[in-house]
Amino acid sequence: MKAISIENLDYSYKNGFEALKKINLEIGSGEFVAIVGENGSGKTTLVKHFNGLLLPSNGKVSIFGEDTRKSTRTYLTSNVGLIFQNPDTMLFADTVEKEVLFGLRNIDIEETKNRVDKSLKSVGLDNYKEKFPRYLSRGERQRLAFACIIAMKPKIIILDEPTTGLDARESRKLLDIAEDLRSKGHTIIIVTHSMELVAEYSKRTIVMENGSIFYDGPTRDLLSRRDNKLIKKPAITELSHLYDGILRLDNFSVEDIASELASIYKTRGGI
Amino acid sequence: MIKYSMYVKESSFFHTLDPRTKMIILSSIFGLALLYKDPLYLGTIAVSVLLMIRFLCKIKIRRLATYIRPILPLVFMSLLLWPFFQPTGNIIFEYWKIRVSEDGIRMGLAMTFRIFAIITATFLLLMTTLQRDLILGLMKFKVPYEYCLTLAISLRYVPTLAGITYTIMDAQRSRGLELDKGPIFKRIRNYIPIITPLIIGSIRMAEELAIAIESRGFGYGERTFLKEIFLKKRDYATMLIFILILGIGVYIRVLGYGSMAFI
Repeated sequence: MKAISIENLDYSYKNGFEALKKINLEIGSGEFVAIVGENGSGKTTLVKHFNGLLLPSNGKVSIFGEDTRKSTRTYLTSNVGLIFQNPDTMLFADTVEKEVLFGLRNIDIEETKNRVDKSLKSVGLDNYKEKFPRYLSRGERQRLAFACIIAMKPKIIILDEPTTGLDARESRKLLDIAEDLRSKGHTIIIVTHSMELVAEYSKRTIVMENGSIFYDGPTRDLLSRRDNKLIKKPAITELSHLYDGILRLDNFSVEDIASELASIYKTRGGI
Repeated sequence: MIKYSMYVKESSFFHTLDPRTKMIILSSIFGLALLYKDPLYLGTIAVSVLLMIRFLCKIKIRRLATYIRPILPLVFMSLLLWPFFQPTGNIIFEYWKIRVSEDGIRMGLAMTFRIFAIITATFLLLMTTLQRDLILGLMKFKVPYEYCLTLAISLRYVPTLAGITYTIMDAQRSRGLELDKGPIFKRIRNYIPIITPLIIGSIRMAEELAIAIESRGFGYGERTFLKEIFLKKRDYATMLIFILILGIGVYIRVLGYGSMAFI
């Protein structure tokens, strides 16, 4: 059974804005999927359908075969964890431990201690249990938000632009945790603008444009397409495309290559 | 969806008026609404404000309803609660110590219309005046710039805070929080995870805003403005009309109309 299956999903906001149009999508268990696209393309609106925060205007969204319209909040929360871009929208308790406990109590989990310890350990915050969440650094707060969701053991974990405001090291830490969870069978969905991270971690990428799916397939194929203006490819991918182009020139000399690369470098303002 | 400003771009008569004129109109409506106590008179004032918004400001009632909807519970609460505190006159319904009388119902209706008239009149000003003009208008009334800016920021940040509240609610619902589940006290307690991040976020935002405006020279010295406002003939005429309406209103009230016998 597919983790997420979507049939003909349309969604319009109350003001009439059509945010999603005829979305058909299937995501299997254990996949690492990236959703990319320009601002306002419908990425966040789409993922909010996965845990029932939004319900379809038309069409159907099923989580492990169960229609989100008919599912309870407990079912959806236990199966789909959504981590928001800004961890501060989530954190309210006076200790890290209580923060993680909050979600567990909401879905009536009894073996709390073990889950809190394990989830904090998995994000490297096991020594912070008694700390005040607001005193943690931005990266640590983001990892705490992650721990809050991991503790609830959802089979599907969605990270909505998790690396915004984080440095490269913290971003990588977060994505490594996600990859580790994927290797244990969780489905990971990441909404991001960072194609570097997509190229590194995600085997499948969905590109959204104006509320529709523009591309859905292997990340490798997406990056090898030269015509795609919707995404900003990682510098290394662009460089390989350019180098490939130079090699195709007939009768090229070393000077030709040097001048070609120099002009590319100049127009791009660096690689 | 809540917008960042309540201003509705239109080319109506009201839109072209000077903000000072609109403030006089607002004061006149406030005066009339506070003067009368009879639901019939207050109802007339409330309906007149609605008609002004629809025909003099060319704003659709549907648009106005977007802003009125959140305050409707307050309006109806007044309608429901007043009868219990005014148990005089003909008793219509009595149970234990609770007595609902004809006077109580009339009082409830009167207060409902009063609140409604005052709120919709405020919307009338905010929907037809740019915040920039509102500040200029207040400054012409010699209100210090700091106070004007505070008012403008408060108005500007209401929708922003509403947006943050919705995001926080979504974040906590993603953690299994069900706001409308359980007995009343549990439901109230359910709002703690919403209110705490909201307050902390607001304080942080206020700090950042203070730095942002100070870095742009706030409080450096006397301020100049790109746009100036001037009173035109139509402004003087409109002001005169509304001052007259208020005057007539006071006269009618002095004659003894528009009150209720039991007050």
